[in-house]
Amino acid sequence: MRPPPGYAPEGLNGRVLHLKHTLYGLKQSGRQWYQKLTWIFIDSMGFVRCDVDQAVFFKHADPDLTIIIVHVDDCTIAATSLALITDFKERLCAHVKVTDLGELHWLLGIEIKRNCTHQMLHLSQCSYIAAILRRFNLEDAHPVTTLMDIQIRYSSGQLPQTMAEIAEMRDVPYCEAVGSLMYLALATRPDIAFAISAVSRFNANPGRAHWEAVKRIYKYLKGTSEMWLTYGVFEGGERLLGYTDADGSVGEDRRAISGYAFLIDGGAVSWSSKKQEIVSLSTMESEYVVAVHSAKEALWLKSLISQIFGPITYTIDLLCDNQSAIVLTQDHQYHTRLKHIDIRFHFIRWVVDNGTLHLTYCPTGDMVADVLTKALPSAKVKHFTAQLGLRTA
Amino acid sequence: MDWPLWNEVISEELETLHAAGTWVFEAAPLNVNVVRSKWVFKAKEDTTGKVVRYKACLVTQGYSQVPGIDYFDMYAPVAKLPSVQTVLAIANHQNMELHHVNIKGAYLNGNLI
Repeated sequence: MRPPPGYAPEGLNGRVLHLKHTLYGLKQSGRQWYQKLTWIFIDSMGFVRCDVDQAVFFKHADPDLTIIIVHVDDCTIAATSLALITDFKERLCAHVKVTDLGELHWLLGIEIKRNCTHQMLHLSQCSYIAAILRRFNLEDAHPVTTLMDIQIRYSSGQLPQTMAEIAEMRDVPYCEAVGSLMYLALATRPDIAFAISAVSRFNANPGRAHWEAVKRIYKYLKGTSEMWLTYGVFEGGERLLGYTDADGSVGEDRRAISGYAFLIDGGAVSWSSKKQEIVSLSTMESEYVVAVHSAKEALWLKSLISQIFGPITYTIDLLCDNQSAIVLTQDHQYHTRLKHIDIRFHFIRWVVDNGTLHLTYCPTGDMVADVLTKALPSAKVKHFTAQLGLRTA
Repeated sequence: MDWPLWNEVISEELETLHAAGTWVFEAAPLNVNVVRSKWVFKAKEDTTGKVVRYKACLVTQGYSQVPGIDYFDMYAPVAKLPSVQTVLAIANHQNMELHHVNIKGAYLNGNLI
């Protein structure tokens, strides 16, 4: 490295600095730091790295358990006793300089509240919501309770046509506004996931109607910014529970929307709203495709939980609102309607057969994942949002 | 105006880096891309706008590094959000303690061969 301007200690004259440690700005710094941290945790402190998420480390010593979740320089520690945490911090201090932030209350811009007497844990990004509302000048907007207008179908027909419309849309910060919502949909707000995937389809060339839809999401957030993603004691709540649903292929390209949500202790831990890759010929087929998509996530969550907290011995329940799709995961009925389905989708039969997953029927009215596949009226949005664990704390 | 203050934090930062053995002086080898460096200054203000802390950070201008010669792999994993939520939900259910630590100047700890 060339010495920084103004740096001329003795012995330097004309020489360069050969770096032995990484500095900020080098391309490989992030990776080298991760490797150093891995060495500290595994070789020096006796932790095990999780196979399915390499930034999670844990140490078992029955009945003690310590888990570390790493985000570059942020370490979240979960441990069965306070002594384990103190011990961990002391041992970490021997290797690196550490700021002790005490009990977990803030992580990656997510505020964390805990109520130990009621065993409740709440997550929220209120301050992030306030910041993005300010950024797009929507602080004083009128709050609404429906996320999307159920009367309007968004399509490429609403793209700007005339010069005036193109000129008008040119100055609209569409991509920025959608991008800012993305983090919310990923971290604490499963309720807006579908709306965001719907509006982000027009990122490249948005029209007036699409911009109005984006503003509506902001207005909805303004009205619901006090909602916290809540995990609390529910009967049998420590079990992983999945919901899977598809819409009726009503999009202009006739591809269905997949939605799934997995819950633990009454709160969503993993969710997705995604357009399917194939055009299906029946709702049964789209439901079958999304069940396979959810099964993959269920298997991943199962390995994660099994490795860290001990083996999952129960069969994971996956709730589905299509009877035919459920039957299809067990037997090969409906041959005439299924000739064309790709073999890869029959992967789920193997998962069901070995007892990992069980598909259970759930009426559409109770199908929580419905909110991840289509625009719904206010009452349904409220109901499903609460079912996903979003409550006022 | 407040240059003496900045100067002070610069020398402090240099001293820390030097003490950590971040570099050794060497004659520039031939045909090697020598990466340049610069200072990044940040004045931390409190809510009233009064400067409470001056920070100087020495950074390298990594954009001149050539892939395959100056660096190889760059991938570093971070925990996925579903993992965070799963662990938090179960840890809460099992009444586990939750704490948080931050590592100061994390990147300065990485080793280069």
